[in-house]
Amino acid sequence: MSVVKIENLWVSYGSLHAVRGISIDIPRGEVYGFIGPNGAGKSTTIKVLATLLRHDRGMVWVNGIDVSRYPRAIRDTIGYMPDFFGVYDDLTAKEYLHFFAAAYRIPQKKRKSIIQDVLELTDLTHKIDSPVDSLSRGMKQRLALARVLLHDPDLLLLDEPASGLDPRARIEVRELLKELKNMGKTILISSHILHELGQLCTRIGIIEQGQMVAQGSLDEIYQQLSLMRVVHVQLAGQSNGIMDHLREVPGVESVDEQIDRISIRLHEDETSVEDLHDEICRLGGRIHMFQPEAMDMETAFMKLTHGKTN
Amino acid sequence: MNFGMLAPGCPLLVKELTALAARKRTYQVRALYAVLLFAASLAFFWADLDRRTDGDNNPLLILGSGGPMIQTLVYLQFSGIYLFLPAIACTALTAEKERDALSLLFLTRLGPWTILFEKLVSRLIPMFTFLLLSLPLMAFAYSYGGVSQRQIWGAVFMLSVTTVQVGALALMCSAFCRTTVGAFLLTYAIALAIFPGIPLLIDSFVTRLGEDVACAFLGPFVYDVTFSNTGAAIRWGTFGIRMIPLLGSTLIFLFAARRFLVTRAFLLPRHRLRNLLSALDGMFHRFNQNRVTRGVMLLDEGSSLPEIQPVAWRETQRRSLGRFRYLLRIFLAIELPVVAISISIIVSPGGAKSHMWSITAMMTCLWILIALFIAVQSSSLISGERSRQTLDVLLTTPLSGREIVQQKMQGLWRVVWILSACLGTVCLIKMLLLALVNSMGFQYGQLAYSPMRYLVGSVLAMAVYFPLIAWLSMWIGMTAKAATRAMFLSIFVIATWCTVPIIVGYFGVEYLSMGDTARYLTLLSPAGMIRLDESHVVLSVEHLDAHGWIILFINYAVYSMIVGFFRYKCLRHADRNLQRLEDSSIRDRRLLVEELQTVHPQSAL
Repeated sequence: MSVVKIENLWVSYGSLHAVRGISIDIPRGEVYGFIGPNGAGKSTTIKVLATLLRHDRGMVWVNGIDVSRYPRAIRDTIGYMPDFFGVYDDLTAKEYLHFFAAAYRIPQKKRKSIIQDVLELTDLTHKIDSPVDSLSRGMKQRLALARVLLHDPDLLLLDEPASGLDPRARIEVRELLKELKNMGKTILISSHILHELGQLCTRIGIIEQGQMVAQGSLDEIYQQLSLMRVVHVQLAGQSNGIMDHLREVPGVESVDEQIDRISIRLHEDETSVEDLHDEICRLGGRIHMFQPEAMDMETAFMKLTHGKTN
Repeated sequence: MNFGMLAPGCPLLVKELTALAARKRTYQVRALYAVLLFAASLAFFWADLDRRTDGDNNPLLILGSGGPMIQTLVYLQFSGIYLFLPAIACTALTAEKERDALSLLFLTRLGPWTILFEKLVSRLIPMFTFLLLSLPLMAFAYSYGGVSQRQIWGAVFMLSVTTVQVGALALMCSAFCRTTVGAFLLTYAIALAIFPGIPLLIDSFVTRLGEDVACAFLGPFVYDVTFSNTGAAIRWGTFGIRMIPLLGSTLIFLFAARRFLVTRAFLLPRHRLRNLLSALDGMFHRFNQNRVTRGVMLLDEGSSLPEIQPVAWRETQRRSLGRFRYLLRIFLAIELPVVAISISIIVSPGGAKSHMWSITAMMTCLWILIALFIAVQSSSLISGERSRQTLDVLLTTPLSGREIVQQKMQGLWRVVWILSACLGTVCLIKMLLLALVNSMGFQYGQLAYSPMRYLVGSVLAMAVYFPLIAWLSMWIGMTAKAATRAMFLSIFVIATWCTVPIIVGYFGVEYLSMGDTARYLTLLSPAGMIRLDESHVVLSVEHLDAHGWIILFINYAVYSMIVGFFRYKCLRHADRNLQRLEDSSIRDRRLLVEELQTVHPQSAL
């Protein structure tokens, strides 16, 4: 059964339609990346799932429970982290976590060990008695993640968890999310840092002006877009007409000779990168370097969206 | 509207005017000002005409009555300036600070004086539009005759000078404070002090200052002595000297604003109260570590970590105005001066009437301050969480909206108890004084007022009105998006509710001969019964003697129901007011359990 199921969701703020008929299905254990320009409707969708916003039309279920009918039951099963920290500056890290442990009605006997566990997971054990307002931005973000994990929710709703963090803090948060993925948590994450989503997410949804533009695994999206892979090749010695032969290989769009290499634009659905490698060898080329360029989400994002917002 | 054409070379002014023009609140406030001005002016005009004709239908009797009408209108406009302009202008610079935009202004070619000038003008223009609202009323008054040009031009000049003076004061406070709330409170506090609170207090209690000194900073006073008497010639030399304090204070405010604009541009939150109380904690802790006391703790404030009610725990254990030991210190800091002042009033020379008047004045001030305090605190409980962006996180926990609101109020109730104790002390002193006066065979006011009824009335007033203010402000705070807006709205609603029925009642009694019917109207204001209890002049002697206890209990029974209504509004739809999905009914929850047992047989909610 899907942990999140959204069918034809519509949300409006007055006359403004923030979300217009999107549908999402997230199976258990999946990490779903939600991408879109500012104002596309990502946070609105996440807020509907977090029971903070009423939707106008459509159906939303979390663990098979209708969000609009049973919001209280949903709150026990989700962990929501907004795009701001939502921390109380007048508390210490320990008090902050105990505060939410009490709010989630975790039995008092278990609280200490659970808090110890989440602090270890987020690498904040040494900061347990520090006032929250003395923590760095990255630490506050990790503390917020620790808070989200207190009641062991099935679904994590993370709205821009890496926004405003420095590179080190971003990497730490990314590693933490990988850890959560390995723990089998279902995660819905929105982010602007596209290549990080690419490394983390099993599926992606690209949203613009409240509508889903593309959805699926990364490979499926690349195939939908007919994106070509660029392969950089260095051959030892003379190419001896190999380039002309390569142009005739099915799936090869173009072969450009550059100063120190040749760049081959390849349709992977016709010829795979491995087959191209074999073909060059078969043609007698002595390969010094063979480097398929990583397909990046930024290209996909730019191709799919037009930068329009509601 | 394109303001760039009207104010070329003033980008900040253009931006401010454009923003003001686009804001709905600008028009709401203007409409409110117009309604108040027209209602008050027409009521005064009618009363004046009624007094002049005195039942006679001769139209000649009202000829020449335009002069007093203009006078009335001008004084109402002065009141409007003192009431409205501080609220309008105090946001000028704090709004930029709260948006972190002041540093960007400093990076432009706009100098500090230019920023101040454009900000000041941007706030003066809306106030001048308010003043222009009186033109139809002026025309109406002018048609009755008896108006001199001197009155008109004098009014235009003095209203303009006063507007600039009050605007400059608000701008100074805005440059000084970090937040709009701080600037708002500071502006009104300074305005109250110099227009003309402190000079009047000195004049009343210390030494005779004379009206020229006591009212030196007041525009209405200069207008009154210079322009209102159409018979005497203007003595320009005296007028010039009287203008010095007004213009001098305006310049001082502007120079101070210029200084604060730069020196206090980037202030960090200081938490002064928290730091002071923490410092006292450390000091008392050191004193306690000695051979005699050996660090003994008389009061255990409970667990240092939340157990069951986390929100209540934070409100009562982690906030400065929630912890018992801090509240005890605040209680002593208020109670001791209150008792000292009360005793000094009683032992001071003067009759019982003078003593009663002084204690009543102190009670009134305490009531106003405590009501303001509760309104500000209560309205910012939820809206403050919203502004600090912690509310959404709290709302996704399983705590119900009702639980969140009830727990949030727990810290406030503690403060209310402390403040009630301070006010109760003064009530008790006054009751004893009343009993003493009665036992000596004297009467206070119109009748020998029952000390017991006074005591019961005071206790009921505290028991009913403080929760009324708290729940009403909480309701406003839950529905407002920003803490500042919630606070202003709460104060405005409470002030309007308290004053409008009293003003209407006053007009009914004084000008419309409505007698006790109009007097009862004043009880529509929560302050009406307090006024009746404290000053004993609202109802006639016969009514009060015959029905005093009944009026008392009916009044508080009705207001208790209103408290219940606001409490119900806050708690019944707490989730909706907090802006999250409402919990399903118990019947729906049973259905859910059945549904889930079908889907996941092992699951348990």
